[in-house]
Amino acid sequence: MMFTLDLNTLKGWMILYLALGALVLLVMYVHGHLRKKTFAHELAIIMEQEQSKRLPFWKKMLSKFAIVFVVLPVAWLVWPGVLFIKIRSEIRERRLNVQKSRESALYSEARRRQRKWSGLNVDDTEDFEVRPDERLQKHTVEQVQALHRVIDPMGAVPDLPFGHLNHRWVAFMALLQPDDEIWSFRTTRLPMDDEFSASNGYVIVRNGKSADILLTRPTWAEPLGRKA
Amino acid sequence: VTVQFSESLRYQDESLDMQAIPLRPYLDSRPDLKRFQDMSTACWRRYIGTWAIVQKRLYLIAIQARWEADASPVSLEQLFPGFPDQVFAHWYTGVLRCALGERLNYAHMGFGSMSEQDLLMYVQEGVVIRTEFRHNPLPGERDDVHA
Repeated sequence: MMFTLDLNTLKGWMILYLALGALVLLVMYVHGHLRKKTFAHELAIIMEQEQSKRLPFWKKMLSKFAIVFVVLPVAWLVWPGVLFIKIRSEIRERRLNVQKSRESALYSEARRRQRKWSGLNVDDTEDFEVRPDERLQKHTVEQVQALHRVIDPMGAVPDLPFGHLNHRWVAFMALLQPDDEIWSFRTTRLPMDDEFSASNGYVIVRNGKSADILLTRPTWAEPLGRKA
Repeated sequence: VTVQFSESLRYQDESLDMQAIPLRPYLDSRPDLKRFQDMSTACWRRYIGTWAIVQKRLYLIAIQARWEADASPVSLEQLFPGFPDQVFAHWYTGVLRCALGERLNYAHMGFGSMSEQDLLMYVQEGVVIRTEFRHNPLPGERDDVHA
């Protein structure tokens, strides 16, 4: 039996409309499914799963029920609108990708600048000189190493001076020359978050002048956690 | 900058969204590490860390990221040789903020959105030294902090 579509009736037009709608939704589904292979999408799913773990069972079931029995039929009926939204979001996403590459370059530059001061950094602080009045106390290498042993009951840190940041200490030590001194210091002249009032660390003093520095933990603002 | 994916924090059997990036000082101290793969505008840092507070100490217990060079997954062992399962974050001193309750406003930028309450944990060299719940008032309400 051959099926013929009678476009002289409303019923015929409705069948054509719904058939086209089904085709469009199917193409959109396949297109979306192919794109799911990106890492970003995998992550989005993981984040969604994390969120959904917090929902009660009945809410999860209700949302699945709503997708199958409410959202899908409605989307089928108004598929030209769905198609319009999809095309618009594709255009926006392409624009966003252009913006993303621009922002990425800016972000890399900002991060490069920030790296200068963050963590226990010794490589990029050559611009900063610790003033004599900011020095606190002279230390031996052994004293610093003993002060910065990190102990963890779970054993999740190496038994080395400065723990997981031992590589920074090793790099700092490599800069030491004969007759150099190591002093602890505190300064308010370095950039820091609002929660802190001063930066601390060690400085190599060479011929009475500040050479390289190694930053350690900052001093909290008073009262704790708020700027005085 | 687009609103960013939060880090995940396991705290007292709950999984919370954490608006802080305690791994950054460590990664900044390792310029020798190769780059992570780009993810999306919603994750400029290119990774999502899963953290846990155990006995008032902050641990990194997982990381979701891929290496840019070959798209293989990044493991804790690769970042912290000899420590594949958990890493004590003793390098971190700062405030961890976890959003609780309904979202009050949406800021399309970084971690700028605000929720009904914030759980604030003051961490010093990886150890939680103080915890606060901060009520974020609606316009017209009084600010109230409960230690």
